[in-house]
Amino acid sequence: MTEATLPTDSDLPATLDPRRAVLPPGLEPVEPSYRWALRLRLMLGWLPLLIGALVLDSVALEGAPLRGLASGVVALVGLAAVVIGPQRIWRRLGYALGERELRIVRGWLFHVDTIVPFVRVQHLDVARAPLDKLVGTASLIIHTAGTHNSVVTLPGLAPPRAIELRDRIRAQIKTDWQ
Amino acid sequence: MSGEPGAIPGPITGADANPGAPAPAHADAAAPPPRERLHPLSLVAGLGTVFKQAWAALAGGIFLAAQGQTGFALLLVGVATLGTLGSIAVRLLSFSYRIDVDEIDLASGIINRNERSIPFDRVQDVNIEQNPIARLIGLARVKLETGASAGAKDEDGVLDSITLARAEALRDRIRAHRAGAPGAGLAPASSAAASTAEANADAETEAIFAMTPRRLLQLSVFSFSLAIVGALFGVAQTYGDALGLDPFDPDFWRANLERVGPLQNLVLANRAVTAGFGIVTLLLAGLLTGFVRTVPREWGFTLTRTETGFRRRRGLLTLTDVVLPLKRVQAAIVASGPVRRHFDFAKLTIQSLARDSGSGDHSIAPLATGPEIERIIAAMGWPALPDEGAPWQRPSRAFIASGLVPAAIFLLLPAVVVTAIILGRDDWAAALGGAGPTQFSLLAAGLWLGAMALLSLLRILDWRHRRHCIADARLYVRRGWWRRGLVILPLDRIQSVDLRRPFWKRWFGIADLRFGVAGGSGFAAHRIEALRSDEAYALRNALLEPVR
Repeated sequence: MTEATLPTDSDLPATLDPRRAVLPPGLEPVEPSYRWALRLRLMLGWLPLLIGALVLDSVALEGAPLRGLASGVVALVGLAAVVIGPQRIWRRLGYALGERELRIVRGWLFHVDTIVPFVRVQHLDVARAPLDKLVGTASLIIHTAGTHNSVVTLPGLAPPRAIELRDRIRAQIKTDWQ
Repeated sequence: MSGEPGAIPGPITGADANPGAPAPAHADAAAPPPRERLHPLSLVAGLGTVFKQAWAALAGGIFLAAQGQTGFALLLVGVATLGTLGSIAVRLLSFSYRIDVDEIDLASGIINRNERSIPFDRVQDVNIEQNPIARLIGLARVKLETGASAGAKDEDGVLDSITLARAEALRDRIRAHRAGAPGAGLAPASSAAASTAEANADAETEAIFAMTPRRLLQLSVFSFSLAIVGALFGVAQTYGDALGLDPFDPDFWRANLERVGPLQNLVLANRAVTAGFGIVTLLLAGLLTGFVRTVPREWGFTLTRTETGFRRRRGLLTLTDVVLPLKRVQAAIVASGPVRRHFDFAKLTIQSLARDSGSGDHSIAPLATGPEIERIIAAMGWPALPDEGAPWQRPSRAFIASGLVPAAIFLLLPAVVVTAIILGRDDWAAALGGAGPTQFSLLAAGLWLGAMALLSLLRILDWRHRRHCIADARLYVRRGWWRRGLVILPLDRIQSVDLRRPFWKRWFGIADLRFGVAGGSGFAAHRIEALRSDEAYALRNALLEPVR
């Protein structure tokens, strides 16, 4: 089930080593730098919560028992999410470009394994948000006609790889038609 | 109207722009065609948008000016106008496109950079729009629709704006490409524009299904509904105080009866009769609601087969005449409730790509018997529905347990909390008839067990009525024991397949499949729940076989 994907000299078992992707056979992990995009995004998400908790603690809860608990908990949980979360998300995010379909696998808590046949692709985007530019990744976005799941996103690709994937999928659309 | 059409044919990128033949003409050229930009005059064409967006600011400005604060007024209007103009200018500077041999590339955004690639094969519709200002300066806004369902919020491809000549060249190029593609109509989302015209030219053949007045009456009886009572209740609750109406207060009726006088004694003496009258009134109201809701809509329902699809006519006051090309049918749903099923009736709906009619679901037989539904399905050229002998598969038995465990936890939490609160207060326990803490805990546990037993029963019933099979390149999914439904999904209409295994389902070793299908009302995806994991993977492979 697992395969080592990054050069690592640690003796940790594959299931515990954060530098190894845990993916079904045949799937490629996305760029390791995607972890930093996730980390920055998590930081940006937790920062307002932390500030809110600090303000609450210092203004509203003056003299209350257990003052500082809220900030402490938010800080701890946020820190844990920022430190632990990204590589766990990265380890479980993989894709496989097949002959006729793209497969995207993600998540452990909410594991989702999506297959989009190329015949069904309507159009394709390669998108780069500011965080993507910062860490050097890009997202491939696939639009299908389905009402459910009409936009399938594969984040964390190296920009040349994203463009290569797009071109290969586009070539498939072409051959199916002519 | 469009100025000199040949004046600005080529790219307008800058000094080195080649003013020769339009880019798409050299389809055989090896070098990729150059990137092009929007026309600088888009800024002028966008003035309409500027006014539209700035009208609130304008109103505010006038208000401020009337109060003598002219400076503020000018500032407000200026900021609003410049903001919109600025956004157009930013788009103008950041947007570029390239018309390739068989696709168009759109690149947009500065901070959020997005490069979109739209193959010509997938373009359903090319809309060329010109507002009055754009017409004056010969510009046009081009909208490419691909049939992707992201919806109105995200337009598939918009060029705002380019010269009309360029827009027409692009449209002709896409049209020529589509005409040259032999497989046109292959993709499920295709031919949205073409099919309507085709279907209109069809000669119709025969009526497949029609609602006789008798059938219509049956349908109206089956549509019995007490929704009106609920609605009246709601009205009485909301506006009752203001209107002086409170039908749930005995005094209200007593006061009214007193006004009538001698009748009061009669009514009060024969309460049973009054209650009987009440029930009859309720029944009549329910029947009338069903009648009003169905008869005007389904009056004269006829479904005829045309060359390319179905044509449905119905309606008493609002006559509708809808053409449903079979090429655009994505799925069919046979549904029936307990009463209809008892009389062997069901309803047939098809899910189709239909942006024209709002929801993508079309009822093509509101109330039909089994043989009639079979006839309609045969008329669609679809294989007959599989019978009991077909290789039906059931979901895993873990379906039952996997649904009960979360329910047990959700029910347990409030039960424990309520019990704890009640036991924590002596006076509350006394109010409950002097029951001791043990008795009360037992009572709570009993209630919890009872609820769980009921839920288990429902879940088992649910499981027993779920099954699916693949036959004749179609997926059939049956579900529901109270309201039953059968979904018929042609395999080549599946846009994408999700296999979902959240952690609690993984513990049970099961997985869900969800299908992306175009059209439909979009409330819930077609899905198969609680398959054994290995079966789910195998089924997904089987489903995707036709497109591999």
